[in-house]
Amino acid sequence: MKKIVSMSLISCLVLILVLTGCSSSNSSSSSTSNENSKEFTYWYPWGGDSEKWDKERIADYEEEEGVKVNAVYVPDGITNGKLLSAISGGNPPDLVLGDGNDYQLAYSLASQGALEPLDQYLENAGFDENTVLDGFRSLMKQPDGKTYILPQDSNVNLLYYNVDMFEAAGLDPENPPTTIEELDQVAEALTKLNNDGSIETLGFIPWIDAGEDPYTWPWAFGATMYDPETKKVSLNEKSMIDSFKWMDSYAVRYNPEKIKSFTSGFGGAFSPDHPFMTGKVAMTVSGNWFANALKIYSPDTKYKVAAIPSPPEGRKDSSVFGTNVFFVPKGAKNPQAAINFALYGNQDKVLADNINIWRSISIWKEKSDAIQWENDQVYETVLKVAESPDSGHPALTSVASEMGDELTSIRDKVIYNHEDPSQLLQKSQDKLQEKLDKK
Amino acid sequence: MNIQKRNLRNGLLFISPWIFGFLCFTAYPMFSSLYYSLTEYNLIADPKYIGFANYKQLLFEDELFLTVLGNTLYMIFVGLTITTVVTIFIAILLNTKNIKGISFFRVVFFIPTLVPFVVLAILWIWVLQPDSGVVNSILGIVGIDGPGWFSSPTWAKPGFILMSIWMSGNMILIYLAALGDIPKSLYEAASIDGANVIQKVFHITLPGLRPAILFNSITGMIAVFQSFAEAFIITDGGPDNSTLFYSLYLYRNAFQYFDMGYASAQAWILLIIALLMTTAFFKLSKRWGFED
Repeated sequence: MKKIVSMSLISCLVLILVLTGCSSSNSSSSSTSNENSKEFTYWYPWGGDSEKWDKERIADYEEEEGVKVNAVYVPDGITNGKLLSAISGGNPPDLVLGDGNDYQLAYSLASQGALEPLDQYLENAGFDENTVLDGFRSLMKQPDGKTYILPQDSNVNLLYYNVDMFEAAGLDPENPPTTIEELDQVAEALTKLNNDGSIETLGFIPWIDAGEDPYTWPWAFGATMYDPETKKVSLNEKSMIDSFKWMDSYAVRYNPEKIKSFTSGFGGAFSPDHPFMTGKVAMTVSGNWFANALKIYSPDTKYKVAAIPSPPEGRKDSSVFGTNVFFVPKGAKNPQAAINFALYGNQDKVLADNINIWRSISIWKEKSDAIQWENDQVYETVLKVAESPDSGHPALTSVASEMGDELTSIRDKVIYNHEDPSQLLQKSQDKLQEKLDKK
Repeated sequence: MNIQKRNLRNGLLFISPWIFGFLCFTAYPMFSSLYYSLTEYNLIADPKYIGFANYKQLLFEDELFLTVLGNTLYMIFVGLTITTVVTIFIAILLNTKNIKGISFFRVVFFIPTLVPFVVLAILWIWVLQPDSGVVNSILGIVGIDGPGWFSSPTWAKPGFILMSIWMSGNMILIYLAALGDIPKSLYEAASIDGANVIQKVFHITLPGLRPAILFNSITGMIAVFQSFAEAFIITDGGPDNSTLFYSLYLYRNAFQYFDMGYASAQAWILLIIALLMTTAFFKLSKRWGFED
């Protein structure tokens, strides 16, 4: 009995200790802020070549400015909750770079009050927002008018098509499909089935590579998805339904399980097994960086690129952006140093190496001379798409992550079971709206 | 201070590191998650008390939750049953004394359990690859057109079951140990009475294995509830949510949607389900004459 009493006494004491420990760390964040500190912590998301390049710019900056950058490699830092734990634990990094798929999450963090507004720091550093391409403004600001996100550079998606296969099928590689109708016709002409009904070559599969991203096709078809002004989720609209029905038309024609079997044997974009590289698929939608993957893994594939086809009422010559973004978490100790570095790090001339390899897009209106792509068909198309007023960042809302999963789930229901997208979309729309209203 | 008190103090001091660890890293998180399950909490803002709304939504409004629960229960009732039958069969084979080099085969069946989950998941993507994977190639030799496995909503879960059989060396080991405990005299007596192999298995081996079966079923069930890495890496819950298991959905709510309150409620429901099922296992096992 006594044992139990003393045990529970100790438990209570420890519990109190722990609880007080936790609550104090919550309230005392950023008390040691030091504006002039010559040191800050920076989380970057990449390994490999990108890491090497990032380290070079950090080293240059440290040498030029006499600042110490504590660079930490944190893969998927935003997506797996590490950042949120750091923020709620009161010890966040000063600067985070989120990779292209994470900008929605960064935006959502900002809308939930997890990021520092940057306006003052940007002003101190002499930043003029009119120098940034229009397409990125909506991402930088929240509806309250404050700036929370500073884009580094961006990527777009393009239609890659195999020139030899076009010619073999009697199609003109100089005239790629621009509408969905043309895309379907060309896809049909490029598809070859074996006698037993199995697939030899497919002209096109809507849901591989960037087509797998839940926002790619709804965006091309012209769907709104979310209106930041009215804070309304709008999924059940004609353009969205059309995009799903169109995907289903491929599922009806070719069994989606067969298609998935047919493509799942192949590696990702960075392996010579990719179906576009092996000639199993004649057209695919992928990022600008895919051109470099092709150069490395399949130098013999003759290909060209075009803007993603869209229906007449959709977004012509457009793409969703995959924007790499800098932001400063709430409670950061040295935001000014972080912003100074971010602005240094996303100048064209610093990014040029990156752009020269991956053909990514600078966010600045004025182009640096250090960018070497001249007369490059891919880069010309990249620029055309990037400058299109119809290119943008879909679903800038705190429920973007859920929305993406909902759309993927609906797509699967439509292509595997041929369910009616309209009902499913309405249900998701209501669910997401309810969630959003609660936040 | 009398000797009893001193012993108590010393005893408590000796286990205090454990008590401290338990309170900090197990008890405190557990009970705070109970509190968070009654709130709306996104890690940044302060938790907002909302009563049982999370539970209500999970149990009565969230259709995906039912799908997720269904997927997980499928893995328990179908998957675990098949795994149990196969592992007992393998254990009986590995228990044959008169085969040369039997210890080599025992090692072979145990080795897969040493492979880290991530490696295992990537390996099985290749093994169950529809066009050129080992499994479908073998099926092709005997004239069966293998399914799409992880690309098929119908076959994705059976794919995971195959995988779990492959890595069930621990279960086999436990059955082997239990088999060693069954007295030889029973088999000898049965032989004298003229029982054949199948009769011996059903009347001697299986009853003898009951405690091991109970143990493996319960630990296996808990492992299924916790299984996360394989589905996260191989299918990410797809196709058509057919492999969205409990832990994966919990992870999504907690770390992708930052809905900690909702995820905590899910964790508590999981705990209750696991408790109920374990109790049911024990009750049933008693009714069927299993002894601890």
